[in-house]
This record gives sequence, C-alpha cells and structure tokens, in this order.
Amino acid sequence: MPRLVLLLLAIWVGVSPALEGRAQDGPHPVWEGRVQFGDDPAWAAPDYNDHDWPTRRLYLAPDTTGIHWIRVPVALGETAAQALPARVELAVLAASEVYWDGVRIGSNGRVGRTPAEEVQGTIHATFHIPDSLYTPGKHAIALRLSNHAMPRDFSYYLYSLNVGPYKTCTLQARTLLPLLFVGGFLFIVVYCGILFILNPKRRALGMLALFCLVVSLLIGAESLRALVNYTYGWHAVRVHAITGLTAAVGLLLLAFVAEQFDAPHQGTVLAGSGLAFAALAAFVPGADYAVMGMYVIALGGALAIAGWAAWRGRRGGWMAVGGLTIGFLVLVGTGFGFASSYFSPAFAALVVGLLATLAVQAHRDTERRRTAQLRETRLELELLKRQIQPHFLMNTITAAMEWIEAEPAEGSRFLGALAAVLRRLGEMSGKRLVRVRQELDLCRSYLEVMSYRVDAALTLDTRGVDPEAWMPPAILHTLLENGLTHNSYPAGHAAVFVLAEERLENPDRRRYTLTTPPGTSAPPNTSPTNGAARNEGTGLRYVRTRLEEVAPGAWTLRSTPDAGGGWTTVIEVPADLSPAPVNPTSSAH
Amino acid sequence: MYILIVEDEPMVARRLRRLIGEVCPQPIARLDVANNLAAARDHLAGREIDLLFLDLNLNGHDGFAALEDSATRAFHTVIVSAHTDRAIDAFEVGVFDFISKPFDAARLQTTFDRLFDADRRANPGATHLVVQKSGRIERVPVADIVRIEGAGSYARLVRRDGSTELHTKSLKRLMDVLPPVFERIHRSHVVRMDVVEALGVHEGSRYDVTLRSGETLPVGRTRVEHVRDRLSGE
Repeated sequence: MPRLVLLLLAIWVGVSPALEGRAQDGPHPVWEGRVQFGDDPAWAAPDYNDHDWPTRRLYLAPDTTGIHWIRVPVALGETAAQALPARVELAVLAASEVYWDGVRIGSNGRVGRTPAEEVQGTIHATFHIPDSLYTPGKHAIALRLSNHAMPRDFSYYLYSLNVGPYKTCTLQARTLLPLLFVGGFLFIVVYCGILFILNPKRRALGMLALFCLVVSLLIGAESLRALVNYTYGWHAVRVHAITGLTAAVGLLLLAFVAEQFDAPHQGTVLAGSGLAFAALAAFVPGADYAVMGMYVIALGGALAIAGWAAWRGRRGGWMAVGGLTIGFLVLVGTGFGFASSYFSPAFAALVVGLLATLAVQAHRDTERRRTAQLRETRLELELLKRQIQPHFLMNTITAAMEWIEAEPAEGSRFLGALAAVLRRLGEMSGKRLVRVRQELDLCRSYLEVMSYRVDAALTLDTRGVDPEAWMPPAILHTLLENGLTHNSYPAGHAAVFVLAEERLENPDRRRYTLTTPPGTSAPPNTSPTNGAARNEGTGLRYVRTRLEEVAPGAWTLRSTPDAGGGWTTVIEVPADLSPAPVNPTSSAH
Repeated sequence: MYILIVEDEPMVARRLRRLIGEVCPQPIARLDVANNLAAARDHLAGREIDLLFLDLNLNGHDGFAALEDSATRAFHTVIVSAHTDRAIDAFEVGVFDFISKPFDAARLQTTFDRLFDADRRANPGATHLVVQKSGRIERVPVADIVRIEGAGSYARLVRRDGSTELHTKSLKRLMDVLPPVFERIHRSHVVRMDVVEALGVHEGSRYDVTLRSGETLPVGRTRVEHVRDRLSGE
C-alpha cells in the first residue's frame, strides 16, 4: 500500500505540470518576461533594448510595490491572420496599460505613482489587438503596471497573460463544469438538512448537509473570478476565503466520516487536522500549495478512516472507501487543476459514496426499529396470551363451576377474583413498565384465584417493597405462575409467597427476591417432558425479554431451588426505571 | 366398577368425583384420585381398574407419555383436558373419550352412555394401537392390522405380514376404539372387512369367511346376517 501511494505521488509529480500547462489559457501563454521598476514612456517601444532588465517568472509577486513595466516578446506564425480578431488577455494584481508594438491598446484601471493616484483594475481584462498589427513575425508586448493595492504577504501576481484569438478564452468555460454540480450539492443540502432537522440524533446527516453547503460556497468562491470581474484588491480576500473554505470542507469531511463510522479518537483526529490546516495556511507560501495540502490531508485521512471502518466490517465502509478513492485519485491525477476545476466532480462522486453509506445505515436503522417493534408486539401478544391460556382459563372455569354448584357464594367471589386478574392484565397490555403496586395487585388477585382452584390459602407478603417503583408488566405474575405450576399445595393449607426489595448502591439498583414456599406434597421427581420444559422456558424467557426491553444489558435474573423444595428468584434492575419513551436507534448501540 | 382419576387440580378432581358419582349407571366399587403420575402408577400397580380419567397436564408435566402407557392397558382411558388441540393425538392412540374442560354432568353422562352402549360410539377410531413389547411401548398402525384374535382376556393382533402382537385389552374394549372397518365376526375374531373375499356356508350351518391371504375364519351364527350385509355393501 505505501508503495502504491508513492507510485501515485510520482505519477502526480510527473503529470501535473503538463496538466497544469494544458489547463492554462490560450495558445500563447506567457510565463517569463523582463521586469523593470520605474516609469518611462519609451519602454513601450517594440525595439527598446531591455537586455539589462532582469528576467522573472511573471506569476511571482514583485518584491516591491509601485509603477513597473513588463516586456515580453511574441512571435506569431504565418497563419496569424486566420485567427483574427485577436486579443491580449491579462489577469494580474495590478492596474495596467497594455502596449502592442508600442501602440497603447488599452488600460484596466489607472496606473498611479501613489495608492491615491492609482485606480484599481479588475482582476481580469481583455485588450483588443488592432487587426493591422496582428501579423506574422516578431512583436513586443509592454505592460505598464502599478500594484499599490496588492497585499504584501501575497506570493502570486500575474495569473495569466495570453495572446491569441478571442475564441480560445476558456476561463468561463472551465467554470461551467464546477457550477453544474452546485445544483446537486445544494439539493443534498436541503434534503439532508430537512432529514437532520426531523431527526437531530443523526448528526452525520447534518454534517453531510453542512459539508455540501461549504462545498457549494467553495465552488462559488472558485468561480467568482470568472463570474464577477472584481477589482484586484479583492483577490486576496477571495483566495483567503478559498483557503478557509477548503479547511472547513476538509474538517467536515473528516468529521462526517469519523461520526458515520463511530471512529475512535475523533477529537484528536479533528484537532490534529485543524492544526495541520492552520499551519499550511500560515506557513506555506502560495495559497494553491496550502489548499493542495489540505485536500491531501482531508481525503487521505477520510480514506484511512473509511478503510479502517471497511476492515472492521462496518456497514457502508466499502462504499465510503470507493467514493473517497475516486476523490483521492482525481486529486492525485489533476494536481493543481483539482482545486480550480476537478474537485467538484470528484466531490460529487465522493458525496454519492457517502450518501450510499448513509442510505445503508438508514436501512439498518429501519430494520432495527422494525425488530424492536416486532419484539414489542410479540411481548404484547405474550401478555395477552396469559389471559386466555387454556390451561389457566379452562381449569379456572371448571373449578369455578364446581364452586358455584357446591357453594354459590364462594363461587361468585371466585369469579370476582378471576375478573380482577383479567382486568389487571388488560390494564397492563401495551405498557412497557407498570408501577410495582399494580403488579402486586395483579399477583394478589391471581393468588386468590389459585387459592380457590387448589382450595388452599395462598398469599403474598412484601418486605421493603417500594410500591411506586416501576417494573415490566406481569413479570412477578409469571414467576408466581411458574412456581404454582411446578409445585402443589395441599387443600386446606396455607402457603405464603414473599417478595422482598433491597436497595443497592453504586450503581443504584433494586434487588427483588421472590421466595416460593415448598409444596408440602411436592410433585414426583420425574424429569419434565419437553412440553413442561417448554412452558417453564416460555415463562422465564418472557421475563428476560421484558427486562432486556427496559434495561438493555443492565439486569440480572437468577432462579434457584431451595433446600426445602421451594424456589428463590432474584431480579436486579436499575433503580430508576421509568416509562420514558425509548428510541430504538439510540438504544441499539 | 373401579375408577381412577388422575388430576392435579383439586377442585377439578373434586368435581369429577362428584359428577361421576351422580351419573355412573353402574355401582362404583371404588373411586380414587391421584394428583400426580407417581401416585397414579402406585394405584395401577396394585389392582386392575375399569376406567381411567386422565388430565394431560400434571404439575407442568406433559401427561401424554402416561397416556401412551395407559393405552396399552386393558382399561379404557378418558382424557380430561383444557387442551382440546390434543384430542386428535389422543384418539389416535385409542383413548375411549376426550372431555374438554370445563365440563358438566351431561358431558360425563355421554361418556358413560358410550361406555355401556356400543351403538353410541362416536369417536373417529384409533389410528394406532399401543402395545407393550419387551418392556417398551410400541405403536402398531391400525391400517397394518388384518384381524384380531381373542386369547383369553388378551387380544392377538395379526398384521399384514403375518406377525402378531399381544394387546392387554379384550376384544370388546378394542372394538370400542377401533374404526368401523373392523367387524366382530365371532366370539374370538375381529376382522378388517376390506380384506374379506367371500362368505362360505358349510354343512351343519357352519359359516366362514375367506380372506385375501387365503386364510379362513369362522363366523358366529348370530353374526352371519350382519357380515353378509356388509359384504353386499348394505
């Protein structure tokens, strides 16, 4: 992998100057010329001897401000006449006058000896060359310039100097492609923004919306030079804005990917990247290099996080890797052209990858929510089944018929207790938590019914139980039912079930202990058949599922036989259970 | 008559005991209640009973194994259960009746009517007969049984391949649970009517049937008319 990166870097280094050259304007771009500070009208003449003037790379800022001249020779081929009409295109951080073979063909602003005298030119200007002067052979361009409004710390100066026919002017054309993507980015801003407002917990959506918004602003700032011909003093503002927006895009990209895949050390990664961006902006001469460095850090870092996520098997990891790899390869392939022209299609590809990641996660969230809903429905059905379970209901009705025929008054009380059990279970249906006192009422009614059924006095004692605490519905009821199913209590005797509560500290928990008394004529020691094991399993599973629903991973349940033949069941739950609505997506982590 | 009730619900057991006492047309010599399977086995080990009322769900234990066990025995079994969905399974192994909870005196009356009047049998007929074979319980598909021979108080089941199994129920009690395709043709013979080829008359008013296998079985004089009607499809 490191070798691949090195190879790509090597390709970039080799290819990008060529691309850069190709990306520049016109058939006759000029990069070098002779520069002289001072002012003399004679310097406009085509045959003026400028051999003692120093030759400079024109895009580099001159060391001082003030009036100065640039002279460059131009050679036109035999076909020059076919290219008419022709022009000089000039983008420079200065007010300018342009001379073609000593003839003044135009000015941009007013060249001045002092800042007060100077009138700033626009960043970009075109000067028509009279057809009679545009002939095959050697020509001289002389530029008279003053750059009083140029910021001192700015290392760029002349952005383009082109000679040729009008039709080769490509600045606006090159702006068109990035602008085409702005519509798409803004659509994502609105779409993800609305989704984020509706569900603020999904921060990744907000980040993506913000990311696309800043990308759109960045495209706007990049395109400004072609769209609005501002005066050159504003150029530094625009370049600083581009640097700042690029840093913001980079940080948002990193933050989004880190948030989306729940990467570790997010704060460190973002703070480190922020510092690196600041260092690039402060110390790297030339905004293009700083911006380039930021793209490398942001895309490289995001790719590293996505690669880690994919390696860890996170959903959507590979899609993010795909989108980021396209972005990174375009960056590596286009070099400096990336910032001006190619970053928007690259970011479009990247955003498609990130959107796909979001879609995959949204799908998973939906799935999770559906699972939670299904579980809720299943528990609900389980609770309802308790009311109409044939073993309970039919045996109870048979016993009730016997009571009614033998002792009508008792029979009627029995039916009253049965009605109370059904009503209380009914009241609990659809609830995730009920008050402990409701549960105790249910248990007492249930024990009254069972007392009639077995003709014994079954009662429930409580010790230290907080009646206002919350617990899932029908769990004590289920445990009592289990105890009564697997024990028999002889007619005419009394049996006391005991529920005790202890409050534990650190963490704050409640421990409920339910003691089932031993049956004096215990059932035979036969191994339970599948049917019985299934019944017991269903009861305990119901209790476990209920506890997991309200206190995921934060409960315990132990059920052990006592030496005397009874059972002890211990449940521990967080002390502060309360029926606040849960969001299945937030509890699913 | 000796009746055993196996039921873990005291009030249900009390109700069964009371209602049986009210509706049983024959004098009851003894009526016991066992509230679990171990107690039931103790009762069954000591003496031969005539009728068993069995709950399928005892203290959370599935009584179906006990049911298969009881189905091999000479006495009739009546299931009393809240789980009506088990009725078909129960009839398959040859229970005499299935009473679903809750029940009343009239429902018990029907059971006793069926018990003492063969014409009022109404169950769909067993699909299996359960036999004890060297200590294990084995189900013999009724479809595989060609005929049944009385052997003292036992019955010998003859299968299509000629092999035989011994069942502890008498021919009369087996007839109570077998599907109508079986016909009692003689004091000691029950046969599947769809394997009978012909009815033969011999000297001295002796009758017999010839089976598809070539076997011949005697037909009792009092049963000849009935056999003839069934053969002629009436």
